[in-house]
Amino acid sequence: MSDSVKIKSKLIIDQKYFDYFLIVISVILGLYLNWEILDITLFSFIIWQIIRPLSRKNLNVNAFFLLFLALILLFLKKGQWAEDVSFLAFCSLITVVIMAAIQTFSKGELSDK
Amino acid sequence: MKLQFWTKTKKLKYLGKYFLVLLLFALMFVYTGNMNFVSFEQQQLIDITFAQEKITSKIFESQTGQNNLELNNILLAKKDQCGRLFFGLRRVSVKESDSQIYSTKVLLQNDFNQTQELGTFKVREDGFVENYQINFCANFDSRDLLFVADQEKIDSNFQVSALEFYPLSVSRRDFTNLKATVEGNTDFNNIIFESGVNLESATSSLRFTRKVQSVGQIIIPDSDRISYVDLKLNFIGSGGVGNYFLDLKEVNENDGKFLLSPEHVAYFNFNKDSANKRLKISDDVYRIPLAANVQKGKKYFVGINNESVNFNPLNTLKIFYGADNKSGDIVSSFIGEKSTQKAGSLFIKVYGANYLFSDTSEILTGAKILDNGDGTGQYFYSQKGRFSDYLDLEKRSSTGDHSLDVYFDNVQSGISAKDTGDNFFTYKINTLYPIKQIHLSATQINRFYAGSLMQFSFDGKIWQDVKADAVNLSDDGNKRLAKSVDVSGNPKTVYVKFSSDKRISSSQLQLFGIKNFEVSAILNLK
Repeated sequence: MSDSVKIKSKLIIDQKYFDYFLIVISVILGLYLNWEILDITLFSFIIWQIIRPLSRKNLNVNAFFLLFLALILLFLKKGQWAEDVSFLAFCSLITVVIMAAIQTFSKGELSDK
Repeated sequence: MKLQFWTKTKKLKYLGKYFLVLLLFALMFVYTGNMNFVSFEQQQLIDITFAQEKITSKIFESQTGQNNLELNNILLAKKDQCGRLFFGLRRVSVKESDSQIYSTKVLLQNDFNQTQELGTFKVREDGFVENYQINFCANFDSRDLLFVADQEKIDSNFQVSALEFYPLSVSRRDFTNLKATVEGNTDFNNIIFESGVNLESATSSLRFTRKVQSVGQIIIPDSDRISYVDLKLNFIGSGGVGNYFLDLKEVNENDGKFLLSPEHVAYFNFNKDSANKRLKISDDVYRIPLAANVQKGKKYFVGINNESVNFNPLNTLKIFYGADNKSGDIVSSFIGEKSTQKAGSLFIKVYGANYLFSDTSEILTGAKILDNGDGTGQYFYSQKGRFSDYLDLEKRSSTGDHSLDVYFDNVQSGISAKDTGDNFFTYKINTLYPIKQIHLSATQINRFYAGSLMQFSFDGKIWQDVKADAVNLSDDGNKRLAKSVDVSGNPKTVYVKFSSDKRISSSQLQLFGIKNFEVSAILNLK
């Protein structure tokens, strides 16, 4: 048990900087291809979600924070910003649903076995 | 054993993640595969072609931030030689233009440090060409001109275009008695529609999200001619491969819903590269030519469509709009017949064209009527390969609508028309003084187009063909129609009509057209 924890933590420590590097690469790729900030943010978020998935709880908090931020921006009459932030909130919510579906599927798979 | 298996599975899982990430990176390249990847050499070639285009169209440009422009070997003026110099001045800002008026001094100079000031001319930094003329007699032999702006501005430059020198065989004393030159100096700087959204407040944007989409706004023009449209645009990524079209379409209203007519009234195509080189007038603001005759007070849709662009959401175009509480306008996005509306207005300015009128006749854009000083005069008019060539048309065959039966073809830089029925277009040339001799010439668009028939008339009723034996080839290998005529009866107007030549077998394209239409005439000024 203790061996597996050691190996796991070693793997994570080794990967940490490589993962950050990949995020930097995704941002550079977006900038090179002259994408919009929103597209770069979304792409980097997807990459991050693949390599270090946020927990459902964190994603929920993130989605609600973005929704709240969109409301504030709407109140401040920053229409374009509000639109962009609500789009990110929408993407977060979609991710929450996908994660929930994966979790349900995995549980179902286990129970089937 | 169990531990080894765990480690292997875990490693595979981690590796799988990275494969997925790498796959995503690769997919992004494939997905954005319609990017117009241009090598450094190719880009250089494009830039050289563009520079060459400017030279052939006689556009001379100062370096950005520099306040002078020297043109060597541009004219041949001997000592005491009198003549007229025509030129257009334009000032453009790379960033945001200001409303300040700049003065530009014009000097004649030679290699021996002799200079003669010819005049000072004003130009606004609004991207429009101001046309000027100078009458002068040279104090020394000279071939060079120097243009000096009164102040340097780091992010702007000025252009000199349509530079022409007409030497005259008159002495300094007689020079002042000459009749004033008439020049068709059409004013394209009158705004006929403007939304209540200014550059600063146009912060929201609509981007193309689907194939074959049109984004634009309904306008009601306050004039019967449209010449330019200003829009605030931003290309995302490479902008996409293919051409965007700025469209002008008629709008029909049905049960409160707007329907766009399938026919274009006019269009202009552009891509990121051509727009940035030819149409950009300041940061994010593009001035796009749109030559059309419209009906005052009627509703038209002005918008951009992406039907000729390989759609890709990461390489696309954004059109800016803002809240416009005053007019209550809406910005519309059409996908087929379905439309979605957003409250607000585009940042949009639509310009008309005001012709110089003499009596009841219009003087065509850039046409010149000059006094030679010996009782004769000269008339010159030539097509410029610009949208104004279309606005100069007097008449098009009327099919009852304003669809593209005859249109300005910005691909061919000429006037094109559908080769259907009795389709034609006419120029009315008003020379102000009686014509003694006239020379007419025009080039057919290309060999894929139907042959064009040129006819002329001095009364608009009896037409004479430009005979086949006068057909020869132009520099670019296309057929050139030309004829010189000795004129009797002192007419002051000549009509020139172009239609499809039915004697020539049908073409690959159901189109006919002409470019480089030129008229020169000797006039009787006595």
